[in-house]
Amino acid sequence: MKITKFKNWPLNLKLRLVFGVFLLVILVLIFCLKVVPSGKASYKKTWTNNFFSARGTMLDFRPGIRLDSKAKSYLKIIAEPVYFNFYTPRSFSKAKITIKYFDNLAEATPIIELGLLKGGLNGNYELKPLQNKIIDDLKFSWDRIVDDGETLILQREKIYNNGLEFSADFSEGRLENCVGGPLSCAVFYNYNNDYKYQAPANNLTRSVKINQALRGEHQFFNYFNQGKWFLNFDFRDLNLNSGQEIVKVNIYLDNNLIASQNLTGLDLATRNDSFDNENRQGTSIGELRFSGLAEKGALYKVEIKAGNDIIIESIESSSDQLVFANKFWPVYSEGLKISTEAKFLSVKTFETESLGSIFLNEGKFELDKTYSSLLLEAKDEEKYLNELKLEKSGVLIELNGFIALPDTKFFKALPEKMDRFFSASGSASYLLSNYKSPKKEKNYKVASLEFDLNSAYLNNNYYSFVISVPGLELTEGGENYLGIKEIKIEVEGRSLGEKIISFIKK
Amino acid sequence: MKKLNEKQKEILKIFVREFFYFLSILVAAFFILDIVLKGLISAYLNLNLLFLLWLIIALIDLRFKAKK
Repeated sequence: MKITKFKNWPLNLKLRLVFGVFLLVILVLIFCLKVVPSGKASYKKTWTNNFFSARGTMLDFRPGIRLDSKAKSYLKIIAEPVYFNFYTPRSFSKAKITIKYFDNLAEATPIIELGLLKGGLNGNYELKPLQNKIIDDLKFSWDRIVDDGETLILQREKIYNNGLEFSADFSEGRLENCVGGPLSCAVFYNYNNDYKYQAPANNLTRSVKINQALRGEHQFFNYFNQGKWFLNFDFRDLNLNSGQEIVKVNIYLDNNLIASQNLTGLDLATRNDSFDNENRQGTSIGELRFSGLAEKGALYKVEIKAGNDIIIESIESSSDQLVFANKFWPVYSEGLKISTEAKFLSVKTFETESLGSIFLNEGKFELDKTYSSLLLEAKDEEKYLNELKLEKSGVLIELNGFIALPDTKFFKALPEKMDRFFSASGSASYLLSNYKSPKKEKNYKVASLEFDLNSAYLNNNYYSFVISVPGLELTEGGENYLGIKEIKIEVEGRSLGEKIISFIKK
Repeated sequence: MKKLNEKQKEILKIFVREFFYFLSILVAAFFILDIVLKGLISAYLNLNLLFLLWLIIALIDLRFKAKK
């Protein structure tokens, strides 16, 4: 067969060859975009959209009501939190996120955080700080013990000369100028918590059964003395939602998961229309029982992961030294009294029957709107423990602190965590944090954070993020806002070569 | 505007026809790959504009065929 020279080919064949090669190059490019052979990739989102723009890799910024759509060249966040999805062609092991922004935030909203959704049932967001103006100010008024770009330890007065001196005392549960130990004068912010709670000497505990029903997900700390311990839970499914609910209880010791059990709810054909605050509705779905042997007295963390369709009917523990953390949602609880050391609490309800008065110490507050948070402040500065009395049932309480019931003994399981209400004139003398202040670049601030993607929730090639500005609420005029100019995500994972080698080794 | 001579018109017809075939394969491949690769193509390329380009080239090709 005689092969003619290329220049003698008919025009259509020449064009087909050229287009064919071009198509091949495009397919190779798509392969590289999908597989990311080097294991590293970088994605950027700016708000300078034009007609030709593609969907992009960072999308679904929601809910729309918390964004001002009139702003075209940046993302204007007027209420929090705001969620978004990050599309990746494959899974990676870590990500570095750099955000360029400017803020027009009031003094009451000094904190900006970015969170990554972690895997599992009712996954939580792992929040990390982008900006904390309180700490940025404290850096200039308090003395720095450690400031190495990762860890920041500040002291109100110059007592410790270096990090080693401080760590030596801290690890033994004592600090200078701190009568009650670190719990009474140290404040944490995004700090890798290696603090170990130490119970007082001759700590006596007794078993307790909490019959106060709670709704949805909760977390509590329980201190067990040396010896046998047990925890029993009873659950009820309200059957308001379709599908089977799953309840999971995880128990941690020193941040290590030591026990975990699941329970599956019901999926009945007939469902209840709405939640009844007065009459117990739904069906019991069973119990979970845990027990163990504590070699020495220790603090256990218990997570109950469940949807709002699940009621925790009762909790039985071998120790009454038990406090709930951060969230408390009692039901069938008219007239309930609880204790907390937190000075600020946020309350909310989803049922009109739960609207009514709430008493915090001597102060009276009126919860008169559903689906709207009401901030309570304990005015009595001298009181260590504040008493909250709920006139009506079904009020969701959120706080930065701990809650004890009348049957349980209050104790502070962890040092105080800094929030937007932190006051430098308060009782704290030490601040421990993993925080780096944002850098200034012309009219913007730039902050970077690193996340481990291995335990993140990857749903159909999407990672979920949240931008949180505690206290930023919808107001008329929208003068208080956060403007995001650019988001850059640099991801890293196994390269193609490493994947091939590990595949061969298998 | 300078009128094209017959040979140039013929070359243009062939080019448009081959470009149309190429775009047809490209558009079909991109749409299928976008489904298979769960949105990878549409993350980088506005597929609606590519489809619009394909339609325009198809119309031009049809016009050339009609003029024959």
